[in-house]
Amino acid sequence: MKKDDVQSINLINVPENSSVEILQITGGYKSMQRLNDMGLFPGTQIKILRKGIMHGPVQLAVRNSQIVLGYGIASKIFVKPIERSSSENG
Amino acid sequence: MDKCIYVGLAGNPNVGKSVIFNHLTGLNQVIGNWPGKTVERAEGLFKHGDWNIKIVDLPGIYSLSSYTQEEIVTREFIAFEKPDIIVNVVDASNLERNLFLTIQLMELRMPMILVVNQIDYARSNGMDINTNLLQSLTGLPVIPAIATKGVGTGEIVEKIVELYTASSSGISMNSKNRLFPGCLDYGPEVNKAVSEVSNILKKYESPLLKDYGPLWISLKLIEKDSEVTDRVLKENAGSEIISCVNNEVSVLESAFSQSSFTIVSSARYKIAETLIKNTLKLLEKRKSYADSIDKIALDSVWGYISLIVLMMGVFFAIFKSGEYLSSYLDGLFQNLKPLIHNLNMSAFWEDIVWNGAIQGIISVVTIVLPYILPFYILLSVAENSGYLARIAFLTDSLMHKIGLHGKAIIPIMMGYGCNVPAVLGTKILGSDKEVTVASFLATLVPCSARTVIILGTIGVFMGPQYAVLIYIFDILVIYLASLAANKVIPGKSYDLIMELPGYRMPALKPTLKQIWFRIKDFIYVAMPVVIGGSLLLELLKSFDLLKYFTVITDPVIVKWLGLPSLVGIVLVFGILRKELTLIMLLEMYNTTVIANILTPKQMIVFGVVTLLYIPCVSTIVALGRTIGRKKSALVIVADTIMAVLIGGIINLII
Repeated sequence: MKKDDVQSINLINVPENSSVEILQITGGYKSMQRLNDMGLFPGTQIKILRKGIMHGPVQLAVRNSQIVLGYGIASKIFVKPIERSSSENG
Repeated sequence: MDKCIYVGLAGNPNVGKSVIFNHLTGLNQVIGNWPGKTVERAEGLFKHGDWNIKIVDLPGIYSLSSYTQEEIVTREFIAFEKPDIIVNVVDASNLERNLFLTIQLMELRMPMILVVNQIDYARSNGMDINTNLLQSLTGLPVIPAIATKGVGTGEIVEKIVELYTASSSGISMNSKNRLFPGCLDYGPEVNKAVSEVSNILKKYESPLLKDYGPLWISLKLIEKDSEVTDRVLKENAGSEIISCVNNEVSVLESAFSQSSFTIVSSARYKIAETLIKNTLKLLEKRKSYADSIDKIALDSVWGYISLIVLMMGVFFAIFKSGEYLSSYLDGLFQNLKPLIHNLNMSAFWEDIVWNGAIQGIISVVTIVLPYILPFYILLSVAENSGYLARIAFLTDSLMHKIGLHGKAIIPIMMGYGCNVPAVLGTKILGSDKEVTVASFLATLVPCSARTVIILGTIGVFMGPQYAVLIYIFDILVIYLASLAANKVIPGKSYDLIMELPGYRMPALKPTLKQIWFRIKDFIYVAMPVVIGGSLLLELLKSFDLLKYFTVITDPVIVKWLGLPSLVGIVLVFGILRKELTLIMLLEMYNTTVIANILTPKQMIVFGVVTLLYIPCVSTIVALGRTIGRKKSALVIVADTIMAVLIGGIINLII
């Protein structure tokens, strides 16, 4: 599993305004299903725009639109940073 | 004989389905710039030439999985009501996620029209969509539209008729015999699994094939959709089919080392990506003004400050304009009084006519309407602007403490207008527990009727700052009550997953129409109730029947709450409509000045009690439909206990 990868970071620890690629989504079937329905999969590139205070939600850009994830579900996503070269790819 | 076409309107939340629905049918379905308005489906009928077109506005969904009630509603609708045509509305500025649903609808193999809405908004955000190419790639008729301006709606109707005529005479847009239509290519592994599963379904002649088509059923089985799987298991050869499915699933899952659901969804998004790559051109990226507004609106300091400032601004705007309108209209109506007195009626009839009917109408027009009108205007603006979703972002962590998430704030905020849509709107939340807690909270939110009571008594005679205090106190009560409810009510809560809509300038015509329909609704529904209630009260008074009633209520109303005895009666009438409590109290004392009846202290107790006690009849009905009778009864009991308890304590300490 990629979770042990050196580069794997929890989404909530990613600084604002950085682009990352999803490595793995942990957690139950339901949350996985809901994230999938919104277009979040391992391999999807996202950009973290903002994080709310006091374990607030995470605002992110994905597939040319913006979504907000609650702290709990965001913490189930592990990502790796991407080089700022070929963004806008999905 | 007129011919009838049955149409289902489907799409993601917040793409303009309801605007299109209203445009086509002339009806008024609630619109607004936040996901989840249409929680119950709405139906409308209109004529086009010889055709009667019946159209159903389905709730907005992201997917046809069975995660929410809305998704199941849409699935069942398509399978069992067999609409002739599906009109799938997609948001041009968010095409990729919208196409994810389109692909699932295509899997159902229904005659379908694709409406690419808000194409102007997408263009102004630097997105150019080649709808002709989209049409040839998907094999679906594609119509670009700007629903708020009525652009494209005529074409939709024409296309509906055209497609219906074509499909009923056997000339289908896409050949029904192929398993995978046009652009639907899930990759070799998934395609193979689908073929295997659909073969076995055909072999055992599964009745589900007729309802949903082979592609959709096969994919749902591969995704391990529990609903579809359960239904297959009930069939004769159910276990054989499922064991074949399980084989295919394990092959897939070991090849991708992911769950089959993720594999299939990901394949669908790949299809959407491919479609986007071909049809969407991103023009030079301008810095969108939404981002600049969000810098303040979602900021961890300025976001909250601006939220509070906005709320206060809205409050004072409603109060000030209401106060002005109220005194203006009151002056107008005072001129009416001599006219009635000159009619030479007996004292009995004069009482009935003047106090009962006329006074009732005057109260509605001079006390209720002046506050409701500015309220509805501001609510419509807030709703259509996209700001409500920002409030959800800001309040998410606070809402988690009470077992809800940020999205719950949207129906609760709507409760300030009316508790009925608020309670019905809680269905956008994921779990039963969340729906129950949020419905309970919604009944404690002061709706416009209760706002009238608070502003018309405390606001006018004690000063608006006291009314603000009542509101803040109410928010505290709501928060504490929900902390308790969260502990008591079993079940789990989900986390926030929400689309953040762009800011929109509310389009003038639909917004005005929306305000007008709300006012009309209020006048049609509230007026008769108020007048009927007033007449009934006058009759009771004339025959001196009130005293038998107050004997029962006096111990609570007079002794414990320290209110005048007659308040017991108006609180009962108030269950019909909350405004009645104030209107009737004034009528019983033949005055329009509440300060002649209640002391400031009594106003506060009266205000708090009317705010918290038994919800009005319409809200009770909505509660019953949303959370069932048993839970509704508990909510009503809890509301009443809180009202009496808190009202009494306030009476004791101030």
